[in-house]
Amino acid sequence: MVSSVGFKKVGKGLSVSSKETAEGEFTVINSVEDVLKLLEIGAENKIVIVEDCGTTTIGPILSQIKGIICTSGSEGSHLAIVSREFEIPAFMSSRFSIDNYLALNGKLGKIVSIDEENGEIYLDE
Amino acid sequence: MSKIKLIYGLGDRGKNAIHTVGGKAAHLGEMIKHGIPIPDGFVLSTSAFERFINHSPFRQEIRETLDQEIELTELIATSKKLQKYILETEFPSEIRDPIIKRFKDLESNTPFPLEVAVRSSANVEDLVKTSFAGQADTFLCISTVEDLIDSIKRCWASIYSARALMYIQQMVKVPLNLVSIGVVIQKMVNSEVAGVMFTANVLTKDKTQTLINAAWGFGESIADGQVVPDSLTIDKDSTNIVKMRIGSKLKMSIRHPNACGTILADTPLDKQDVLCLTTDQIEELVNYGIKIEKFFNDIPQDVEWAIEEGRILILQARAITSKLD
Repeated sequence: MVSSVGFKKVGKGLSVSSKETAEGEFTVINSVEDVLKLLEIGAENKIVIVEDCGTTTIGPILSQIKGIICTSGSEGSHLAIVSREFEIPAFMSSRFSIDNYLALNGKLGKIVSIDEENGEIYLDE
Repeated sequence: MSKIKLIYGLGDRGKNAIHTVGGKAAHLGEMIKHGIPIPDGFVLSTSAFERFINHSPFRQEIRETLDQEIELTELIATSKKLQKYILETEFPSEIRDPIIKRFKDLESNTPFPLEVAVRSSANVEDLVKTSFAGQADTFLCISTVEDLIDSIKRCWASIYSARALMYIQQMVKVPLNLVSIGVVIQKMVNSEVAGVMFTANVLTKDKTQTLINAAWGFGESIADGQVVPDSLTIDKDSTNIVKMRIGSKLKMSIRHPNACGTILADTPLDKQDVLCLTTDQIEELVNYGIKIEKFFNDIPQDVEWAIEEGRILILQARAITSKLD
């Protein structure tokens, strides 16, 4: 897979759900409060970045969001199971090539599945 | 005295009893009927939870809160309030006494000090379209009556956590006053290896394949995503390995050395990058999966399993909720 013009590869993950490409705004989520805030302002164009994939806190916004990047987990994690219920592209055990992924918060980008299980994360430059 | 049953043996009720004992217990009961090895235990019915609420001095407040949809802006505060009501309600002896009796019975059949797992079994759990995965709480390695009673209360309260309330309102779409929760109390499995098995390949939607995640220690490390487990794709017919990814398994979930519960410990170096299942175990697991799938109407299943002293035990089975067509 050749990265698209204008996009820079910033990470990769294990693609566990829909293999569609998702484009949107990276949004870091840490708590139920973050989820409630998104519910108020709308989560339609978000690719959420979460650390915890056990407790599926982001459940309520799954019907809205474009994609999920989780820094832990595998096919069998709770968040992976729930993301498949909604057919939302989801990457588990994601790793970033930039120093701190928090810098992606609010930036535009996309996630692309390159085969059955490998996914790549791109930042729109 | 009312004839409503508060406690059942784990094998007493089958897959059609979700309203009586909740999804997890109903499915475990069905598997016991078909001879699948399940850890011994008992289940508190959804009626026990309702009896507990009726007994609560806060019953009026609880009912009024649940009779209406909770506004999103009120969700966290309402969740805290509901959980406080549950946790501050005294356990009535009519529920407490039979629980203790069952616990003692279980203990008398155990050659070593008894430890149990306390697991949620909501009536909105393990449904065909919504798994409720990870919404309510599980408590592991409980060894005393006091911790058991406390864990049951906290398990009940977890159905009113903010994330569970959000999930029920937004995804299950059932009015909150119809939601109830059973509790499964089972002998703890001191697993050397545990994991998750999907009886269809959820990545490719291929129903001729089984996908297994496996890691050392307790399986909660996989559900909670704390380890990168081994991942095996198996052809169901031949039980041959089609694809294998050895996980780093840097950590493993083990029993807390001096308290109830579990901790995440470093995996010994010589076990980290090594496949944690034998060929025989893989074959046995896959065959259990095929059998389980059959009596759940050929619906592909998401199965939690554990291996203790070389013996496979099944901890849970629910329909795979993602589309496979």
